[in-house]
Amino acid sequence: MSTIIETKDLDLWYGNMQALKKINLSMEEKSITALIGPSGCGKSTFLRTLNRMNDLVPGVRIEGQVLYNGEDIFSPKVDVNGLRYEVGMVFQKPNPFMMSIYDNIAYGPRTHGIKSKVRLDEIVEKALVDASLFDEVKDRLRKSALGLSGGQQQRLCIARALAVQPKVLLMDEPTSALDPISTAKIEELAMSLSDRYTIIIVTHNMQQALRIAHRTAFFLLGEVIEYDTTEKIFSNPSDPRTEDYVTGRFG
Amino acid sequence: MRTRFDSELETLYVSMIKMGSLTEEALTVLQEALSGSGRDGLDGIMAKSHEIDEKEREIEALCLRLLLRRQPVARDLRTISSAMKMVSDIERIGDNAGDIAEIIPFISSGDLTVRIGLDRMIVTVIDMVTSAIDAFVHSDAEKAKGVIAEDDAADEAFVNAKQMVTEMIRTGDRNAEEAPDLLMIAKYLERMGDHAASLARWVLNALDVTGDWINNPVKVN
Repeated sequence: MSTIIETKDLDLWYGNMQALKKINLSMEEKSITALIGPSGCGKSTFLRTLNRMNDLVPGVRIEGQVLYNGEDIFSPKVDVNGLRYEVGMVFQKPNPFMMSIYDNIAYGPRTHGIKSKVRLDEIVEKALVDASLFDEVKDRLRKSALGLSGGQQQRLCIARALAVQPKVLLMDEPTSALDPISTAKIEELAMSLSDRYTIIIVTHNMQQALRIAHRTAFFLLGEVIEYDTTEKIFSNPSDPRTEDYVTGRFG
Repeated sequence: MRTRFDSELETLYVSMIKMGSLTEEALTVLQEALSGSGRDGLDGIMAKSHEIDEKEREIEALCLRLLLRRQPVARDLRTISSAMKMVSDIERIGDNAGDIAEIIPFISSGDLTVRIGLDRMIVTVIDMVTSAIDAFVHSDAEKAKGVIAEDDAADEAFVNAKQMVTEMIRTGDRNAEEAPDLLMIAKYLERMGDHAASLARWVLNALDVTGDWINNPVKVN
């Protein structure tokens, strides 16, 4: 397995508040990495840094490096939009566009300049199949995406991310607003996607990290306390703070 | 913040101590009989053994409930899974105590059991069992390692007993007919020692002395 994303001494400040402190993590290609830790520990900030979503936050200052395939994503020659196609994002609350299911998915490819109806049909179908949603929506592709259930909307958002052929999917608590069945579907989906995509997921559900992630990083107060195989983190963590967190002694 | 879970774990520890002390009571009765101090109480051992069985079921149910409801990880998972294995070993020790109690009435006198060293052997076994449970409750790895080392003494005592029993038969000792029963008792005691050592190994797994208990557990037997 080779490293696809690597951070080196990554520091991030919101104004005077340091949210990330010297983060050194490397994520393996085609695997699932879970980021866990109490609220406000910096895991979502870290996730958003990986595709430069934090650029949009006023007063943010970043030092250190984020290497994507060996290249610093903060280098002036990096095309941020291009980066975000390759490193896609799925949010906590499903956020389909107010348009049809089909158009939600075709949106990205269209902005890429793809106009052929046949080609778009292929892309939409493939993305929906990959997101395990096709069978449920194939008869209503032209209907509004807002008519879907929460779980279906979240899979639609994943399909939308997949349609632009990303390499990495960032997921920020993608199941926290979903019922258990929808959650199980997203987890299944994440696991089946992980043989083609790299997935980095922030989760407050430790059982979820246990079920799906190959590796887990434990964040606390802006630092990575421990990063190891998920099995190690949840069976015999090296740091007592990790132990105390995963066993529910604080957080 | 997790007071209820901690108090449930406390209940688990208390139940383990209770099960251990029931076993110790049974073993103490055997110790008296094997050292020739008296055979009162042998009848009570069977009842004790049933109580131990009952405790095993109770602790298993508690552990299963904790696994289901708390979905424990890390130290909690190691503690609970080890406890589930340990109660089987304690239960076997209780069974063996019952087996020995059934044989003792066929032994003509306490002098015989003392002669082949069974009185000292059971002292070793009692110490191993109580130390193993103590090590679990107090997270004491050194004590658990001590129990595993002590198993050599129990094994040696068995080899000695076997030689002496063989000698009784070979020389046509007037108690030679009792030799097989004496050997059985020695074997049961030796098995108890093995179970106690197994208890200690589960303690070491609960404490994760290898640092990788899932893939590299302390080998049990």
